[in-house]
Amino acid sequence: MKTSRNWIGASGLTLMLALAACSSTSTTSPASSTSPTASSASPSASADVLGTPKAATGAPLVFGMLNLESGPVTFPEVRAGAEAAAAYVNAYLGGIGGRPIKIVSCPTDGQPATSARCANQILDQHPVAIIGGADSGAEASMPVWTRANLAVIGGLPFTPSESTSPNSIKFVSVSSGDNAAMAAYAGQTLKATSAAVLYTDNSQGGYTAKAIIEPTLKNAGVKNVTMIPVPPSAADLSAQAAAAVAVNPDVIYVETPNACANMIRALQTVGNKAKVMGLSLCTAPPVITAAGSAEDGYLSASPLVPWYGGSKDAVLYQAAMKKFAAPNTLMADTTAIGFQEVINLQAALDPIASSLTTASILNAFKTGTDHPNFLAHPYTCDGKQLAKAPAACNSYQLIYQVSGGANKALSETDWVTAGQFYTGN
Amino acid sequence: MTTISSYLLFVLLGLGAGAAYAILGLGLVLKFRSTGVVDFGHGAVAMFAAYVFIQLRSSGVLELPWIWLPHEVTLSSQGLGTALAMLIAVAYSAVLGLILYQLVFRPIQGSSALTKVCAAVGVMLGLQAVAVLNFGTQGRSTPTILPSGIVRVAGLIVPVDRLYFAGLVVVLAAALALVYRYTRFGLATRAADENPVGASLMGLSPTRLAAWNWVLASVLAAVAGILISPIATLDPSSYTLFVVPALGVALVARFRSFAVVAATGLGLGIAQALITKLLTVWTWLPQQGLVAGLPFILIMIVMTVFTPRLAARGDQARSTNPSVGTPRAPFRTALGCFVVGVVALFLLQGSLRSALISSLVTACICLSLVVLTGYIGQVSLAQMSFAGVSAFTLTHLATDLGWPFPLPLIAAALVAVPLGVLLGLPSLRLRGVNLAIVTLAAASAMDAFVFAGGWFSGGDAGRNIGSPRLFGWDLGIARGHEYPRVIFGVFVLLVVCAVGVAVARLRMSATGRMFLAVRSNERAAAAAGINVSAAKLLAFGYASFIAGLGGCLLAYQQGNISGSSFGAFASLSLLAIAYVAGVGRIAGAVVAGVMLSPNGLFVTLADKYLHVGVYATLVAGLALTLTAIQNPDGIASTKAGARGAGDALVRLAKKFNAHGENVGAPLGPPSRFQAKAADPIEVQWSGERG
Repeated sequence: MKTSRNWIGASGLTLMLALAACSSTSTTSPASSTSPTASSASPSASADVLGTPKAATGAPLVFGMLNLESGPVTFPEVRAGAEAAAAYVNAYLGGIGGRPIKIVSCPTDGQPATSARCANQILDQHPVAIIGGADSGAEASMPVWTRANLAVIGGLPFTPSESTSPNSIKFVSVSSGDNAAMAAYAGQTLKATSAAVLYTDNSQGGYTAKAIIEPTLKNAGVKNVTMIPVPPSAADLSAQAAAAVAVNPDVIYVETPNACANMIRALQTVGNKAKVMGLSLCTAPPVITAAGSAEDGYLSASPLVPWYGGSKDAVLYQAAMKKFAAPNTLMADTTAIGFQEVINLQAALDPIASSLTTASILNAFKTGTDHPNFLAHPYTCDGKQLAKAPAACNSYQLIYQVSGGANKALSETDWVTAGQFYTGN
Repeated sequence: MTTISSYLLFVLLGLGAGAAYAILGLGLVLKFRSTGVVDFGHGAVAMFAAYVFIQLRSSGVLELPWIWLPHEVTLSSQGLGTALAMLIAVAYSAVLGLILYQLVFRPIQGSSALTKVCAAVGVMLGLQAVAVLNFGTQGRSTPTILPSGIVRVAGLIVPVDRLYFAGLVVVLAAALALVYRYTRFGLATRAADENPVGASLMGLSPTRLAAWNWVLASVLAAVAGILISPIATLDPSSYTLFVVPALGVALVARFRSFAVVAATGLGLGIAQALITKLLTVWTWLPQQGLVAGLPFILIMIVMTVFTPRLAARGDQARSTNPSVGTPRAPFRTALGCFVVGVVALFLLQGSLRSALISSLVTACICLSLVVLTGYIGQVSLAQMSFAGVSAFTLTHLATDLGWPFPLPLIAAALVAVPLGVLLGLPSLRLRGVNLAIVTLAAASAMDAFVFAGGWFSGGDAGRNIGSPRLFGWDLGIARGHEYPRVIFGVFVLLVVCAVGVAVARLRMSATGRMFLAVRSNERAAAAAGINVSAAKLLAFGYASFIAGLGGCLLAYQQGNISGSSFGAFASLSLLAIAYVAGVGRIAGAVVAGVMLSPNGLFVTLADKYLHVGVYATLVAGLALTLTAIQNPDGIASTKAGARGAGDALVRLAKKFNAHGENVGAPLGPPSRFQAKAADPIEVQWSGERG
């Protein structure tokens, strides 16, 4: 073993080349038999829902996108939704001003350094603007976009600067607006006076729990709030669940995004009688299947109207995903948010397609009020929709409840927001 | 519910997690006693078995552990029965364990602790990466397996399966203890553990015994993984990290006593459950990280203060430490590197220039491992934690207190020194792999306490840092739309070259020779008048300073840093790339930065043109394992006498043929020991006992 060899480097390179050759055929989306997929989304959706084909021609408009697709937490479906929407826009809406949308993306892994590298790689391709993805390393990429004077349109705001930067536009407020609205609903509508919050004990979980949920609950009249941290890699959640039940709260708030089903089941196991509410991520179909009857009655807030429902947007979304997305694409709220941003982008930029600059792009969103917002409440980018989150153009949510194994909106028209009960941080 | 009985509830609820730690711990003990390997990938094996089980149970699909080739075999159009699915998953795990042993751990049986640690970490990263690619990262769940009713104990509602878990742990530990005490297999394993050469002279085959133990341990991993899958969310990273508490448990049992493993595992689970309860009663307790972090702090204290000197196993271990470079003319080399670096900075544009700067920063942090692991042989899995502490300190000193550059840079790097010395204390008693475990526990504890949020690490938003300015001269990476600026690259290059020269001078100085003496034989070093303890602490302090400098450069480069850059996995990956590149050489640190760093020049180039970014972790894991088996000196060492890949493959084929002949030999002593007999001088510091 003492002889030196250089084949490791050579084999590593060969391996990379082999992987590259195969990467176009492999899929990174979680394929689970219990998840609904694009091909099974809606048998009733037909092609005419999509309208008359109007193909985009000419040189493509390049939009950059960073999305979590490697590392411990991934959201490949956000990009899948955005790409399906771009394909639909290019085939049926004539792209933007007749030019097709081209999305260049870079997979991130949650490490800020990777997001910074990816952002620089995207810059090399001279994008017109950036389409938001799901990226928990975005604190490192936002400064790159800001320096390059690029607008960042849509996506899931996972980190604070995505919601505060002047060059950022967010059509929905997830992780802030939805949790704040749900917490306000607990105090104001459900008249809860005590609550236990189960939250994942990492930087994002701690931030959402302590800076958004806890203060909003208190502001909305919930006097006693018990905070219970859940280790990110806990082998058994029943102790945390029992600790929540032991304080006899009116409501229990579940904020453990990667342990939804088990936490909800653990609450049932230890004999919980309180109302359970929390993240809308916990209403993804695979979670509801896994949690079973334990999730009946679970309340959550989501900025989207039911994308699996019968509204005009929902029918279009299902038909377009069926036609343009890969067959095993996970269909979740996050997929719909990816789709939404491209549709909104096209609607705003098509009229100004002849002069696309960062200033004109931002202006297109920031001028006027109540712009149509695909699958969501109309948006107004006046910087006043959510406290201390000037980039959020819409903080309205619908309240959903799980019942009989399905997540149903209590109403598709009663939009709620945390209003004055959420004061930002 | 009375107060006492409400606490009793948490004692009983803690049995679930405790059982998982204990069963994984039992497997770790089996692996260690038979091969001397502490398998950091043990949790990843449990994770894989659990995925296989859940897939079989829910959809009847068998998942094979590779990518891009077809990896799904449909055994049934609907889900299999629970018992059958479990049986197949356990058998699968046994086969996986056997293959991993034969391919990875058997060839390194006689290698140094560092090689074994790196091979195990490589397997762990590889399995985790395959799981991420094949299964995604969304948490999976499955219906209960054990009877899930509730029993009433003293007026408490307790899920009955927690009691079954505890019972299972006791039965397994007792069974293993009996097997090891009374059966021929157990006695033979113990004999081979005590004295492998003696055992092989008796006609026992240590490798065959090890293979069986490895299979048994893999079966236990599968059992643990499958049984807790209904209560613990299955995702690639959580399960993989269960190995950390399990390692702590096994370490307390000194990797020997099954009874102690069972008791400590259950005790750890109970302690965590009780802390959870106490957090809601004593609200003054710090909430952040206490449940995850406290047990490891306790383990560290126990291991450091109360244990007698604990030697690593491996009586037959040859001291195949990575070769150490001999720097010649460090100033001239550094000057040459500086000139080449400046030219490269000017030539490269955009993302490639950023990548080069990233490479330099990584090279700087890797240099800390060159000193600590390469020169003095101490394995640290917490270097990124030191870098993180310095980086965050820098943001406080420079941004909040407004200290003028370069004061905050130097002060922040100095802050890491006492921490490094503190972590060095266990090294006075623990060696090799045991030290690696304690440093991994420290990294996990730092994750939970320091980097998971709070004022120091700035929570979700991270912490911002402005551009460094020297006499009004802006050295920052960005100014207006200019990014990345050459001047910042030159600043980083200057720091890295200076650190390189310092490390080279250290290597050539009396201190460096002292380090090497300690590395090769602590007793001999002590006999020669070297203060071994002082040397180790000095190395830890020195390495922490370098890691701290690297962390500060990283902070300046990113402008905003968050805790996720400095987690335990980041430290593992850092050791991986440093080791693959050659941890005994300064050139190795440069190769690690430029060629292997996930944000470095080579990977950026590969991703830019081939779009292989998502495979970075997998490639790192495979490369690490292959390096550990084939080339402990790393890539950098081949620079001088590089031979072609074809030649290497021929040698590899010969090597495997040689092993192949051995596999069939019944109970015969393996060739490794025959070869050893002819080895006149064996340096056996790692074999010291007591």
